[in-house]
Amino acid sequence: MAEPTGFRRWRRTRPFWGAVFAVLGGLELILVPLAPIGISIHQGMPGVASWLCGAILIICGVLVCTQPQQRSFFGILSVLAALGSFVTSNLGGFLLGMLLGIAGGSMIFAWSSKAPRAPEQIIELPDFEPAAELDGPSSAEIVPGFAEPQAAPLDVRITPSPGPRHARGKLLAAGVLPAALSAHLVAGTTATPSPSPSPAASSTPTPAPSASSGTSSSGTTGTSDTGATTNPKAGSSSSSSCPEIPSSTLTADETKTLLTSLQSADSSCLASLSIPTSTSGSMTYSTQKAQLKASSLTMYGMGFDGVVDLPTSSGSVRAMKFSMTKAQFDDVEQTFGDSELTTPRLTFSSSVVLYATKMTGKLLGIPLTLTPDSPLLAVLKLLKLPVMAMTDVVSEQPAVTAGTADATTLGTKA
Amino acid sequence: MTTPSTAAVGKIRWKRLAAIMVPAAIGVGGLLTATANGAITSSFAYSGSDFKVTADSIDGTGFEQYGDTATPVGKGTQPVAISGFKTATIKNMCQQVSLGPFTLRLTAGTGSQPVKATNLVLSVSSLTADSAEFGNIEIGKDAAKLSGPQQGSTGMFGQQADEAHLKGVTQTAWATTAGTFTLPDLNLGFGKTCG
Repeated sequence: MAEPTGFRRWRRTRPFWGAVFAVLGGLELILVPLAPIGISIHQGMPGVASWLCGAILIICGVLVCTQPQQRSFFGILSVLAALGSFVTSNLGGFLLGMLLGIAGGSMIFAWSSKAPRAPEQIIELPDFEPAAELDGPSSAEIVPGFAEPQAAPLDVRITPSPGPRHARGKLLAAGVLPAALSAHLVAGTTATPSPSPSPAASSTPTPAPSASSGTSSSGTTGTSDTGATTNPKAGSSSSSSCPEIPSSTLTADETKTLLTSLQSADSSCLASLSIPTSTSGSMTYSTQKAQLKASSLTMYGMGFDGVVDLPTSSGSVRAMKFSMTKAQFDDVEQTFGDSELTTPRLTFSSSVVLYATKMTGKLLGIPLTLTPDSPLLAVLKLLKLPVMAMTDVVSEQPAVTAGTADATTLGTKA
Repeated sequence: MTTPSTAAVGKIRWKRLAAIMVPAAIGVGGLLTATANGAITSSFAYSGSDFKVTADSIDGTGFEQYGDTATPVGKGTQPVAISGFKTATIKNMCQQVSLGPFTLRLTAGTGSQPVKATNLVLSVSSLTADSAEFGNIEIGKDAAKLSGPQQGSTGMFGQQADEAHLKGVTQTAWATTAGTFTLPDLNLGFGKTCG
């Protein structure tokens, strides 16, 4: 076969096409963020320059052309850089750069020069002359017609190709290294799921919720259902003394009268009432400023469970807990942080539990403000109305759990 | 200029190629699977423009919503509402984005097969739905403890539901990411807008 010359020879004596693919892959990785698409995706490692893997690929491709004997190193490095680009550079330049880099790196690694397996061992011998002491006639006489035997100097050409043992070692390295890195990449990422666009604050372990709900901070423990003073007589009393708190369930009118009288009564009257406590669910509650406003709240089968300690990421928060079978909010405006949620009607049904750290509104026409420390809560506990409506409701730090929720014309604005 | 005589002509040895391509292919497959399962988190660099998405209905499981901030290119820090679905079925999805003077419209799920997505996360500046139904809803939960595809910062206000059914959805979004996104009847074209 004729020896190739010029550029063709230069091309054949190094892993040319592998280098071309690697350089193309590297260029694609670098140029993709500059394309006028307007979206760039950084995946996984923030801070790692997206051009890094592309630059490594280009450098490997160029250098392997000048140093073809380092092709194993450059080949493996190109493949690793291409795999890494998936994580650091726009999903491997939307996969194209990564595939080009893998193809190029593989071709670089797989290239080897055409050295025969057994190295040529042609040993230079000094000019050979028949030993003078050989008996017999000189070979010139034996084989007439032949020129005097003269061994042509033979060249020694021990080619620098590695022996078979070295090649096997390289194959092993080529297979093991990318496999190990791929396995590490995949295993490392599956072992550490982390929230992404959030700031680096790691979630602090929440205090054990079950421990805190038993101990009430309002000073009352194990309150009975029937509230404080047990006065068999229902109805209001004279204006100079405290209103009597009945022990039985009240009707709407009785409630209205009681509440009105309580509002105007001395605050010391309510001091002796005990506020019931309850346990909260297992949910961790948010601490971000939130508020729910509704023009009206209609509660079906409502019962006030008591004051609870809600577990949050930074301790526990006291809130009031209401249970009901159905809750209907009208003209809802819920704000949380800067975001806002609006809906003309929001209905919760099936095991509805409402929490709030503060609630203001009008109950049966009477303006009320309820906080976990309000003595009125003791009265509220007695209310077991099938339907209870509050208007102009504003609740702070609201939380709801329910089996189902329905909303019409729901709007969320960030 | 002659090459040194020690540089020999060579060619690609297929055995060596196979030896390196096999682990490389395993690596690629592993990375793609890990991304689809959401194991590799994407910290997103938002483009500088928002886009509009409408859908006749979105039915999903593992729904969550919380507030967050985003910093799109060229704009300051913007508040976004993150809505996430572990799985979502979207009927008649239409996405519209303006690329300079052109409007690119993408529609999918318009026929009998709806769009299906897993680990779908929408970063929206506004979302409206004609009606919404939720199953097993929890409102006021710590956003870092949500059990949807993505979590927010500790202490932030979040809500989650086991099921969500939204009808007549229109959203103005900064970004949409999904682990898998199946788009039957995909249609991409310039000129038209989404209704």
